[in-house]
Amino acid sequence: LESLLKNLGKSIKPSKEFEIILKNKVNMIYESKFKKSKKENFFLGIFRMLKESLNNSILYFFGGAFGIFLIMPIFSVIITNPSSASSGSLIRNINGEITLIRNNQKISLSEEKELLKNDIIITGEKNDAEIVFFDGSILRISENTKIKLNNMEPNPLLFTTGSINIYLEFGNIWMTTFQTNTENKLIRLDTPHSSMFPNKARFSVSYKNDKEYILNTKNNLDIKFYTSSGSKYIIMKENEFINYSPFKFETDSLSSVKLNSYNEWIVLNLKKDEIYKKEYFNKIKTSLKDKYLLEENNNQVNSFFDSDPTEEEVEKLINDVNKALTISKNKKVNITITKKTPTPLPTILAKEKEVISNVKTKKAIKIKTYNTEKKDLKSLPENKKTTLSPISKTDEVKALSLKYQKEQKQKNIEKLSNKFIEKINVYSFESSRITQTTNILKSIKNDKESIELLKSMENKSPKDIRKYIRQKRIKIEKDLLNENPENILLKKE
Amino acid sequence: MNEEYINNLVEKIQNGDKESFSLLYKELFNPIYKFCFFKLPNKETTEDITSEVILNIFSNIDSYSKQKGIKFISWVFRIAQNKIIDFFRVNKENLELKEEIICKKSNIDKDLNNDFLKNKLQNALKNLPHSQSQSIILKYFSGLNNTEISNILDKSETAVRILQSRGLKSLKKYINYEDFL
Repeated sequence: LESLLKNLGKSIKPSKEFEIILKNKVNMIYESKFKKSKKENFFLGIFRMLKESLNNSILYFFGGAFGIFLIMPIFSVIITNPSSASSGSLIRNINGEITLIRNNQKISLSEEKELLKNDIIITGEKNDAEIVFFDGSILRISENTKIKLNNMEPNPLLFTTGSINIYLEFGNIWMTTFQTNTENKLIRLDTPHSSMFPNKARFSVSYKNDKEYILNTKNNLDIKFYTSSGSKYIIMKENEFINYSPFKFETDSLSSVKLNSYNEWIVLNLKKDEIYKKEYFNKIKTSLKDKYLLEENNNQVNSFFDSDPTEEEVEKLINDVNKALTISKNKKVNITITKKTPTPLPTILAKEKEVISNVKTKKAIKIKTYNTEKKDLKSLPENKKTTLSPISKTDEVKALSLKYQKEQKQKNIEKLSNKFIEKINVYSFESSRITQTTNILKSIKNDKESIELLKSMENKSPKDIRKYIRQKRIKIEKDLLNENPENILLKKE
Repeated sequence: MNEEYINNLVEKIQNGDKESFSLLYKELFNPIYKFCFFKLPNKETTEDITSEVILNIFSNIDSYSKQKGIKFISWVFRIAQNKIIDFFRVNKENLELKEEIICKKSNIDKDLNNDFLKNKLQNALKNLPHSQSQSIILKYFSGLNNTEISNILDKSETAVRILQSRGLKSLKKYINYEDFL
């Protein structure tokens, strides 16, 4: 029993997502309690990053080496001087009067003012603004909205990474993100009822009077809803719409939703996003030049961005820079920035996300994300397409599931035969017959054929049922006669 | 969990050391999660209560003082126990209703994560006196040693050992081994 209990204790594992969220919350407590000087944080950060990177460095090295063989290298750059820590996020395109509250004090806002952690922004009637974060993500705040920047912490050792946590108390916001959420790049948006984790998603959230409308227009948005009966995880795909309140939960595709005035807001933001994309690339370009690259390589960086790279290529560039920074101890490393050739080999970098269980439907879903375009995926040979695979269960859990299945089956059989017996009672059989039939039913309830027959006869007339039982009884009696006549005699007596 | 090591971490945290903050988090997370897991009805509630407990510990860690005579580990598990009691007090009516619904809706495909076994074990543990079930959960699921358990339960180590052996003996009566094989 002791080893059984110990094994059971060992097999319990909390979800990864929960661990990450809780760790972040604990970090936030630390920050609010014992805020240290930047310099101190910086060196502690170096130590922690080097420690964390040790596990990944070998993987990155081999992955990088393999990538160089597959994709044509265009140029190489040298990384130096990691950027120093700063909020790196600013408010701009301010339209009308907007209130900024910092340390419980109202602060006057000017165009391109740097925002800090714990800042609160409130917009009034017909006022709006946008916030550009250090990683290039953009948040547009609509009228009558209140948000709090719970966390805004760039990672001083990595390029355009860090954690962002925004709390939407009420109102309407639009957010555009360009990178996948990982432990190093954690973007999180909270509302009173939910937490959202965008993966290169472009989405709108509206929260008013306990009602929440979420619309995702690009990639995936992982959402955790807080309900009275616990949490509920949802993966919102492209062009999906969710209407949520504590009493109602609806999801729908974008086309079937009556958007009305909401429609204008979406169209406007999609247009703005198209313009902002170029600006984002430019921002990455200048940051690379300013913070990481030697002067002599500027032309090469320019030519990469002039070649009209896709969002995925830019994301890959950012990842490569970060990998190089993680591996390097003295922050001086050669990296290869690549641009896909005109006829590229389709590469799938499938990344398994955690298994997220949908509490309501009790179904578990496993998602895989791809960094390739849908077109590329179609053109792949069959054997290279990754498909959704069922959840991997441990052997223990599998055995458990089988056991449970068996138990349920047995219960169903018992239920069925009990129901059947009840039916016979209702049709007032003779008392002796009832006991006989009950015994017969008990003897046949494990017989597969009989169960099926019972099922099929459930809705038949009493006459048919009587007929069947009679036949069965005669058959059993005959069998018994063939086997051991003495037993029959004894029974008759 | 080494008591000296934990006390050292707590002292460092009280002096503002971030590294110790994350080390202590690593030490406490699993035992608390497992403790809550076997006390609470489902995974979601376990996550909610675990996060409440851990956040409570870390936000009040500077107010913890050794001089009050309570050991850190027993302080931690007392917070956890109180949170669990609060949860059951608030959700008493809801839980009774929910239990029925859960029984009806139970599905093979649901995230098993030992839910089935857990329910069987929880039912068996309910038959034991509180101190016996507490000592078994702390020892076998949270992975604490008898010294730590004795601190938490305010009993001597010998008493804890007796509680465990008696608990295991009576648990054998209520457990159907086939369920766990």
